[in-house]
Amino acid sequence: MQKGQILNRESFISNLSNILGREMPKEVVHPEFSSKPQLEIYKGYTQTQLAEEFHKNAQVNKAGSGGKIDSLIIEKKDLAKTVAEKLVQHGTGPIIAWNDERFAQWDLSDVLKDAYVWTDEKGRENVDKALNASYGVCISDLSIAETASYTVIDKLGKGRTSNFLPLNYVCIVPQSTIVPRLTQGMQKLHEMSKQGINPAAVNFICGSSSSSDIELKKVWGVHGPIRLTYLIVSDL
Amino acid sequence: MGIKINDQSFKENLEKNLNDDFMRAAMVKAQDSINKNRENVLAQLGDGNFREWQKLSGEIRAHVLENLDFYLHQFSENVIKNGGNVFFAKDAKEASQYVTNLAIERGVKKVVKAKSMVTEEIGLNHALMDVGIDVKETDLAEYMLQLDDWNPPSHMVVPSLHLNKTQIRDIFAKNGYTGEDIPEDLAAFARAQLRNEFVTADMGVYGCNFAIAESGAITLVSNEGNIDLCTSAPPLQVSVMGMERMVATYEDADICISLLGRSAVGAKNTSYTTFVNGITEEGAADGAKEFHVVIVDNGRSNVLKSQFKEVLQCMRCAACLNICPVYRQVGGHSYNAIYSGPLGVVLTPLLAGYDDFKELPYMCSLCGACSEVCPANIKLHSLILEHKRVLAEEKKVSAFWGASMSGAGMVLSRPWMYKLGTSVAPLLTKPMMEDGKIKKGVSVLKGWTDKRDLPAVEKVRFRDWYESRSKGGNK
Repeated sequence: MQKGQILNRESFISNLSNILGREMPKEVVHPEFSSKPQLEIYKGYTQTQLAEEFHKNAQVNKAGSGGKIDSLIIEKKDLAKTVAEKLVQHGTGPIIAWNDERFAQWDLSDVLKDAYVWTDEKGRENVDKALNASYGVCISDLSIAETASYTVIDKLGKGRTSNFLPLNYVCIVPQSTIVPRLTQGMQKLHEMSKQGINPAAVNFICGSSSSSDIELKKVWGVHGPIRLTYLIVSDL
Repeated sequence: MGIKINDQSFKENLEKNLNDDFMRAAMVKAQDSINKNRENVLAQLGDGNFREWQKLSGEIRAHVLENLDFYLHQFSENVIKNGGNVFFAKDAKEASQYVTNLAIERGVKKVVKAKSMVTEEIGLNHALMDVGIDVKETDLAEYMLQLDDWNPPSHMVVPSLHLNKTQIRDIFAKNGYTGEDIPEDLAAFARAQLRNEFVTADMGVYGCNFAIAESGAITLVSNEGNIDLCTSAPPLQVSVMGMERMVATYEDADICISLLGRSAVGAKNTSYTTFVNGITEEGAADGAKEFHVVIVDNGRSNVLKSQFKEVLQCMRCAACLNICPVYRQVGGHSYNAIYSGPLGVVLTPLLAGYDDFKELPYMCSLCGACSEVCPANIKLHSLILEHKRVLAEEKKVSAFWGASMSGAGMVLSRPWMYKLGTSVAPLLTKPMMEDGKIKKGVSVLKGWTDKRDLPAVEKVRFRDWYESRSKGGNK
């Protein structure tokens, strides 16, 4: 099979059209459904209120995870100091970070001076570094108040496995990126898609890796990071 | 594996499971715990009006099915724009052959797999292993089941629910584990074993919770992070999806995702909600360099043209299993198929035929609890009733049952026969009595009295008693 091929579509689709009793329509108007309850959640909240809700829901997750998830609301002036503290909280070890100029803009260059910076040109070395990293550091592209989720929108310099292989994760959540719920996240992806931008992956992440597959007992860190800390920065 | 999970008769299967005390207790514990959490998180969704969300989600899913040809076409066009490939498979064999051939052509030695019901349905693991490919299930439960010689899943969301921690310890011990039966230690062992597999696999295979027509995205939800690693690391990736997994837009996906985690595990959200759009940017150090979507019919188009079409709205959340009083007693393996609970009762005979699954529609008390909790607003109990009607009136699968119903119809439509029957019932049941109760039933009564007593038939008929009462007699 060549790249970019579609196989067996014609017979498959025409069978469905026959079953539906008509030709395949050239266009389908998306209907207005009976209600839109999703738009009422946190409606009219300010960014400060949304940050408080994000933090509150992260604290609920913290309680549910036995402290594996944590969140702090801080100011930008305290970011470097707090990141430095969080990167040794569970012992010292290798750190991996995105190749993102905002770290320097936010005075984090010194804190991250020993971190391995994801560099796509180095190929496989990046993945090996992520596999052995004790800490990962990232910046949320879009943050969801209702579920205390951060979002990683894939692009060069971030890496994919770098988000899931380190043992511990520190995520910087600029307050300006917080939206009420997944609804607004989906609106953003819809707008991007309309412009022809479909990132290879978009990951919404709201917790440490967990499983209840053994006698329904919740355990943490099955495959992804074991611990996750959000730093909600009120003036970013 | 395919849809059917073993060759035992339905009755043998059921009897075996009814004697598994751990499994039965695990089902009760799972139902109680998941339902409590589900009710809590749904009460916190917006203003707590689940019915409104349920109706909306049902409308979204029904709209897609009414225009499935259009949306599948649109979706496949967008997958191509994102650099992927699409294969439409009419049956299980075509689907698994496509993935297997692809793996052979690309020289794949190892596949990491994330949990997916449809890959179970098409028997993909064994097809890959038959050609010498190393397959690693990476979901913790599926990993345990694989190590246990491909023990079949018993629940759609918690597939290993029937295994206790000591059994799991013993399974792991055969694979190098030396610790105790402590869940944290067992999970840590699996983590250590699988970590390197993700980054050394040639191919990643996963399912699809929802496919978004407007962008070509595959949506996946999980708690463990294994799906994210399967979608991040391998250079060649394949998503296998049932053709009904479509939603039209991101806006529609929002509603479905909002209900899925809450209905499945009683959580506001799963830890990871992932949208995969195909190949990575040129020059990326990891991620898919080649991406395929396999869209599977395998009997679904027959369902689409039938009176059971509504079942295709299903999101595979397992809320119907978690509320079902029959599933609570018998467990997932008693359905003898990968799809269990009320969903399995409806779907399995449609995909795999009545011959092997004609008993399933009778594993239902028609209480309707499954329909109440279904986030896709499927009236599951009505569809089960329809199966019963088809079996009785069209398939006529049981001559005895047909004759019994005809007999009952004849008696109930003739007052004199009804009166005679109800008058002699105390006499007819007398030989079955012991200590004032019916304990030794025959024929259809035996199934009941084998497990519990039946109250004696009153000597005075209700109608006679009521008439006498109206005239001032015995009250």
